[in-house]
Amino acid sequence: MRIHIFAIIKYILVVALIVLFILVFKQNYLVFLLFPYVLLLMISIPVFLSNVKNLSLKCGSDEAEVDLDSTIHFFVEYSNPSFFPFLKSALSFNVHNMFLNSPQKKSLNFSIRRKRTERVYVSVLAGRTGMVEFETGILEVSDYLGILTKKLDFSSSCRVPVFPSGSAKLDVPEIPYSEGYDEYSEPDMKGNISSDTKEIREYRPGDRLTRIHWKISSKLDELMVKEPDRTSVMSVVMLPEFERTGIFKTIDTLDAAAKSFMEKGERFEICLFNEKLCSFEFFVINDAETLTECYREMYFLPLYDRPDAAKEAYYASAQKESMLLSIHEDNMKLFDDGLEIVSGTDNLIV
Amino acid sequence: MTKYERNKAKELDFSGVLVTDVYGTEKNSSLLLCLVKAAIIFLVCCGTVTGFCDAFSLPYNKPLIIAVSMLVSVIMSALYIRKKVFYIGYIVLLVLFAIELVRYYMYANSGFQAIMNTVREEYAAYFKMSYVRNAEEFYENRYITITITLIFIIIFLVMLLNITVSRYMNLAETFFIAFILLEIPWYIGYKPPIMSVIMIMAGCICVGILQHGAFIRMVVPSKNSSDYVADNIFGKKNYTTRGSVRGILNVIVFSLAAAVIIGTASIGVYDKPMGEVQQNSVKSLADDYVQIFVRNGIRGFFDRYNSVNGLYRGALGGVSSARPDFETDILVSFTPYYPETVYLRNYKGSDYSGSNWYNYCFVSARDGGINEILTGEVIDAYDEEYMRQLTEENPDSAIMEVSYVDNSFARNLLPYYTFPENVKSVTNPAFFELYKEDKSKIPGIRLTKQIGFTPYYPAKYDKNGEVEILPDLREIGKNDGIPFDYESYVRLVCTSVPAELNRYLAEFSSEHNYFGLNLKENIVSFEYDQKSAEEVNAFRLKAGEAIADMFAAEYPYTLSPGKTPSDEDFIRYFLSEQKKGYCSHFASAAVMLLRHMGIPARYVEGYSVPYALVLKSGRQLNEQNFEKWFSGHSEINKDKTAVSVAVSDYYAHAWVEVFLEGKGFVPIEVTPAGNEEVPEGGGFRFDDFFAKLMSVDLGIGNLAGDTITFTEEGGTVSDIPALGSGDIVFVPVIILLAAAALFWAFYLLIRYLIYLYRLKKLMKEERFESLVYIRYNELVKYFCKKKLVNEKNPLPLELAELEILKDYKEWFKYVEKVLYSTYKTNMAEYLEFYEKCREMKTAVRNYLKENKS
Repeated sequence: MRIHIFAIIKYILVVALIVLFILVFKQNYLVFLLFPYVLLLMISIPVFLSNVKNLSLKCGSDEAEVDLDSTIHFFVEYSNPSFFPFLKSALSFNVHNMFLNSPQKKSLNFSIRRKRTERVYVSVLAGRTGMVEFETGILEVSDYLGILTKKLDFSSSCRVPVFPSGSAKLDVPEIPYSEGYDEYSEPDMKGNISSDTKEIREYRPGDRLTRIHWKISSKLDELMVKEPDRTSVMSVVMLPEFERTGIFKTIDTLDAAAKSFMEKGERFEICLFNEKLCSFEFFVINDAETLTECYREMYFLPLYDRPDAAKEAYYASAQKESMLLSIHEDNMKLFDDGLEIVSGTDNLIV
Repeated sequence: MTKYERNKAKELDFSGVLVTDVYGTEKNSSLLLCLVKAAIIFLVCCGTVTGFCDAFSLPYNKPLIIAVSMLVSVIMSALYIRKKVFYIGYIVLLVLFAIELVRYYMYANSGFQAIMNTVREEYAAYFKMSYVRNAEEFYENRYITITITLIFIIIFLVMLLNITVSRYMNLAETFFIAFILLEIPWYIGYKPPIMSVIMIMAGCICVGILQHGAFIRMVVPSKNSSDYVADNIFGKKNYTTRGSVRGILNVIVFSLAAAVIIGTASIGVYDKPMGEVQQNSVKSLADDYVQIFVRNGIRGFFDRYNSVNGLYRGALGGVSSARPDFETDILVSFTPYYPETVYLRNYKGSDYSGSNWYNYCFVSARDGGINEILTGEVIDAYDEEYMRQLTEENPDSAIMEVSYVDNSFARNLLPYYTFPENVKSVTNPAFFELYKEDKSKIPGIRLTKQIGFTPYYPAKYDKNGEVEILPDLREIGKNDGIPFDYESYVRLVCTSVPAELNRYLAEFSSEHNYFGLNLKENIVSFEYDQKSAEEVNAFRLKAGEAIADMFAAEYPYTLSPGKTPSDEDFIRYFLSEQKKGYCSHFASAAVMLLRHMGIPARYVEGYSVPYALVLKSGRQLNEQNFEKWFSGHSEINKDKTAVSVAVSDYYAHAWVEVFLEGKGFVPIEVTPAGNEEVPEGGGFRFDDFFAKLMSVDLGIGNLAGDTITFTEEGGTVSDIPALGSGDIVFVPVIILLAAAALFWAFYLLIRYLIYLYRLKKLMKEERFESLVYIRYNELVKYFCKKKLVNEKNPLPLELAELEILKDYKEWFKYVEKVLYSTYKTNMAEYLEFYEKCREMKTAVRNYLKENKS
């Protein structure tokens, strides 16, 4: 609770001035001025103290997720169950993309009406991909005379992911297929051999003995072979670099590349590098939904300064037997076993 | 790209998002917002106008006035609907207002004068003033003229209220506009109807709530304005609602209810008669000024000429108040010889006309020929000759040194009785050692005159028969070639009264007979040769006493009596209407009353040195040779001391000289004692301070204006350096400038202290990111100042591209990282960055210096 000395002095001065006028000039009509002032003091502070604690506030958003350059409608919902309104209140809030840390605080000044639940909407244009966060902080409520100010902590936040609009198109490098662990590869089947079974078929010469399904073969009296599915570890892993200055371009390139891959029917993984934990998380992208899911996770990742930190860490620790598509800003580099195969794609078509 | 777009782009760069709109649950129509504000304006305006008119019982069409108030309030407040409407609408309305005012000027003016006349009459009745200005009304039908005038007043009032309500929502300004008008009847006890008061109170409460609530931001919206208006205050973006229609309506309803409740509750007090107002100094002062205003209008406060304590060589009535500066004007060194006031004469007023005293006069020649001028020099010569005869046998002699400290016009102050040959300038005055160290009191001496004189000693004259009557008064001036003699001067000039004033004085004397002002008819003829000189002199002195008694009983002394209207005679106005004044008023009126009774008298200005002042502030001179200072009979001062007295302009004085047969012109005092406190001198007075500022001589002309008075040196008034001009004027100007500079310095100091406090707080809370932000901003400001960058908010990496700062690229990256990421910096990094900032500044400074050279 803050007590405003100047407000008290101002109050005393005004009352003294009115009283002086009444006494010196015998202008008894001035009691009209004195009455509201004295009355106000008697009402203001007790009402304020007894009701301010009943205030409640929360924030939210009308949208769960939006595309780039769309508007997000955040709202602050406040409720005053008491009979008396609060005329002066200021809520500090901040809205920013989580990749950026905007130092500018904002304040929302509004009156809180009695026995009401109301909302104030803050429309925000999402100009960058990432997670847009709307944070509320301290609500400062003052009494009618401005003598007391109470600070109520209504810290809460609401996050809305902003996805790339997908308008960018990219010619991705042709990915040479990996042979995987199998003895042979089939050109129409992309990706590595999985341990999962796709189908069971009759034995053909050349099939590995380990693939014979002995149980079924014994039942059918015919050699049956397990046809393996392709593995979730794809032939290519996309590794976006979360370097601070180029993050938005990197995301755009990643999105464009991912969509091109999906269009081509390529199956791939996106590997997300958490620099702080020094860990990797792999997302198999099958469709738009899995890509969205991947983005949601990606928006929380910490940024770093070195442009190839993820790639270096990848080869140092989480290396997979697949090709690596390293993405930084609008550059993509394809690596196989640490060696660059295809480099540079400035052919982003927007 | 416009500035607005640039800011938006910058915000987008900063935070990745852009707040495009802030709005509440209810969308508010701009028109409705304007209309609810119109309701507030209507309450205040209608309450004020009807309250004022009803309090004075002015005839007017009330329903029409209420309807016009409502309509004008709606139209005016609707101007705030859009920016374009606002700018164009206001101009159109102002033009229309001016055209209509010109069209109905005669009606409006007549109605305005009718209102003013009514107010003046009521004030005159309250202050018991028999005279107030009365303006001419072109049309007699006040009902129509006042109604038309009120319409124009309402439009003007609504324009003002529209600014204070629709634009600023400011209680103090709104209340002030309403209060000023209603205070006019209230001040003299006329009460507006309670309904009007309730309306004004409701309006003011409403404005107070909306202003204090700080949830309403007054703007003229553009087409796509948000419900909430954004302001940047101390680097923080504040969004405040433009107002909610329902919310403001609620406030209006609440305010009305509160006003009605308070009005009803306090109606008992309101209706109670104000009763007798106990006079106190504040109220008296206010009354004085109000009376000046009622009599003379606003000019009455400022209409002053450069004078010492309101005295200016017989120019009367030019000031509404005498405002001495209480600074030392002269130093008088002498030996006190008589326990009464010592008079130092400077100016003799012989002829009175047009509210001025002249030290020369036009007279008819002895042979009945054409009018001749009797100059001041001739009159002085006659006085000298007569007094020379009178004091020939007087063994008393004394010396007085008069030093002029202030740049006053009075450079020829002479005690009674001095002869020209005994006046000489001295370079090393006797008091010099006394005030040598006291620079504040005596900043410098401009001139010192040593005057040998024969002391005027009234006690001696009171002893009948001791002084022989000198009959040769008639011989003075007979043979000097001037067609006029001293006797004619005394008997004719010094008893002449302007005819119109004489008629008034006859009436006045008969009304005040109980003071013995009709002595002339009852006791003796003024022809002294028919009575003994003692009888005639006793009559003259008795008449003087009677006048002094009358003044003391009925005419209070004040330094702020108000200005005499230009079409009024100063003395008549003083005696009949003003009935209060300072020494000029009393001395002038007394001279005319004495002359009316046939007693030769004249008006004199100069300085008085009261004995009380001598006792209080006289400094003893280290003078051993007492005989040099005084020789002869002295009733006091047995220890034979010479003193030096600092005399301020408060002691500038006007008095009366009565001609006593065989004794010449002797001073008599008719001014009653004032109750104004006499300060120690040199005190600072705000009114004087501003008075000095107001009296800056721009070379346009003399403020005394209507009088051109010949000086004793033969020059004109404008030749003489006057108080308020020259270096004295610059003192307040310099003080004002110094005060402004001090205020600015104080403001900067406070700002700096707050800044330091903020830094300390941030350090304590370990908010190093904010500290980096502050230091970075400082750096940017410095670069902007040095014109290295044009933008106010460049991105850190933009700065890093500057050639001169290439060595610090890493640090700009650091800033970028700290400001635009979740990176947490620490104290060591911050301190290093701060050090680098200083280095950068030094580098830039050196670079610029080199480039300059």
